[in-house]
Amino acid sequence: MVPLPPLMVPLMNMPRLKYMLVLALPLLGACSSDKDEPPLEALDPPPTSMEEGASPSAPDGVQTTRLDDDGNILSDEIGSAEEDVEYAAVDEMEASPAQGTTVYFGYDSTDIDAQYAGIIQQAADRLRSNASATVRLEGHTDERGSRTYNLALGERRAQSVLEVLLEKNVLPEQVDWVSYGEEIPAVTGQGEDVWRQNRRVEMILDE
Amino acid sequence: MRRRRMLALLVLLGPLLAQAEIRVDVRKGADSGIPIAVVPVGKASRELADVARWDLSFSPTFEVLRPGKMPQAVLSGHAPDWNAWRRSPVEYLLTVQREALGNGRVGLKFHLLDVLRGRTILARRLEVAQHFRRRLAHQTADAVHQHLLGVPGAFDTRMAYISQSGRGRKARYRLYVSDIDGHRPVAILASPHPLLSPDWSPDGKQLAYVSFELGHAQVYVHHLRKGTRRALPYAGAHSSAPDWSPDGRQLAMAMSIEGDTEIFVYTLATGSLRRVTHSRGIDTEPVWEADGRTLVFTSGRSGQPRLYRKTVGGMPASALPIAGRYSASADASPDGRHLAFVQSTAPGGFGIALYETASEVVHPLSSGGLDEAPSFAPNGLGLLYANTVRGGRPGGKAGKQVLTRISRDGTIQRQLDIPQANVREPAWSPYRH
Repeated sequence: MVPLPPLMVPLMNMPRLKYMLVLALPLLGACSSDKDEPPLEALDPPPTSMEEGASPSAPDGVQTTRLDDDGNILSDEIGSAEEDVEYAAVDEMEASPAQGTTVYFGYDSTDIDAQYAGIIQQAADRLRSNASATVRLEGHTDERGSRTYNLALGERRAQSVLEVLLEKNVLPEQVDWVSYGEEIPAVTGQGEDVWRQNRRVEMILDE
Repeated sequence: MRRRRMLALLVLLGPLLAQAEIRVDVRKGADSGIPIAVVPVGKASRELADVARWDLSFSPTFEVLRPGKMPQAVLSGHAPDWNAWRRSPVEYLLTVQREALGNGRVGLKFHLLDVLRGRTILARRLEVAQHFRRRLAHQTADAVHQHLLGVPGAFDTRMAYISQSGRGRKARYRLYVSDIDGHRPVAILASPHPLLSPDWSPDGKQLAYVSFELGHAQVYVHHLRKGTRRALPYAGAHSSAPDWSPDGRQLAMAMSIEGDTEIFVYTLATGSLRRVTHSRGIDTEPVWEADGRTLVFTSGRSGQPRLYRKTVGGMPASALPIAGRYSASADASPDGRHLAFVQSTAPGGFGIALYETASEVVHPLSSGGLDEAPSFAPNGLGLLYANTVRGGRPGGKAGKQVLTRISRDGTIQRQLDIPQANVREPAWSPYRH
């Protein structure tokens, strides 16, 4: 495995950076109104993490194979999906989300039902009583509809929970969030009973 | 029973599938069109003739004669028996002759004959390295398509798609590139983290896609030959849904602003980033229209996902006049005449539909289930999409994700499958240069 390019390391080791970017972008991008109006600016981006010619390998088990325009394989080939033998026995294996720290949502909804006020309050209390504690909000959707739209929907769900935590005086730097869209279902299969369990935000506390 | 039927299909298609790593399953075929026969000259030419026949039979404009129905075999160096062919319904005859050239190279000579006039109307000789021999047949089919229909074929093209094998901690995601008929698949990226949304650069040399390897959705641009990758617009941004502009200079993509997804245009040469949408509510899945100035995208600003159109740097976005509760995931045909998109269908499923930009008419293309991610062929005459079939494996709860290649009129469908994995997110490549 080729080592990471130097620029990658600080970025990956700084969980707060994402938050800094989130805060910085609206200041740079036009934020003049909530309508689709013309004012448009170019942003000066921070340096990219990997320049052309940098390592073709990436962190954490990511592998690549080089391929020319004709389909010639130019480097060692990585294994095919057919060689993965795990598939047969894994349906039942997924870790189910921890009850008590998971907020579930209605179809295509980002509204938090009143029944979850208690568990969000508990999380907020624990975060406020320990300033070094953090929480990661992982937003998920069911498998229906557009995969990419679902990515944005999972983010809105995480954001809904984030907003409640901030209202309860949790510090922004204690909260990290991510959306996985429909990529990591809690339960596989189809039908409303399955989908209901997959439309969720998991609050993962680190105390 | 199911398996037996599949075996019968495999036997029927024998030589074609001898090296297939993805099964191909015919769902329904067209039965009217220009009658054409594809005939191998000599036994050694059968494989390539079969590939060209399979290609041309994806076009609803042709009715390709089945091999058993040929009135006559064609021998090398002999003219066909015109009278015998004229008594058949065949109007055009394509003869395909493979030539072993030594040095690991192989050639193909084809003649396209007009049966009624009794003469050759197109003849060509092609040559490649032995292991690319299927491309000779694809190029033959492309040339015949171009000559008879006036539109290039898209048979010598590729696709990119994502596979997932295993789940949870054992999940393995791969980005594959294969021929458009599913042959010669090569995994160009393997990762324990989800991969999404591959999109070809217009020159076919790079792919943009989304990877979760940094712990969140992040757009990458990946150079196929060099194997280099870079995170865009920079590592740490939550970014997704990349789409190359027709001139290859810009990428439209979605980025998170305070937990709200908005659309941006990134200029590759300068690294500048321009914000395009400013709505409260999700804006994502931008796709460039053929003019290179207008984006069609999905927005949740009205509550439900709907398609909107906006000129970059121009007027406010306007909703496309598409009825229904859910429309998303547009792809624009290269000629600008159609948009393909995902819409909700009556029994709570999702199907692929076509929107004709001039008439604003919507035609359903697939009847729906969990269909998603339509992607146009470079000639606009076919599409790829992902769908879920029941009974992924015996006793399994989950459906199985497969890919479907469908003609634009919906009459011809082919299914592509990797037995051990779910496959999805297909992207049809541009023409090869």
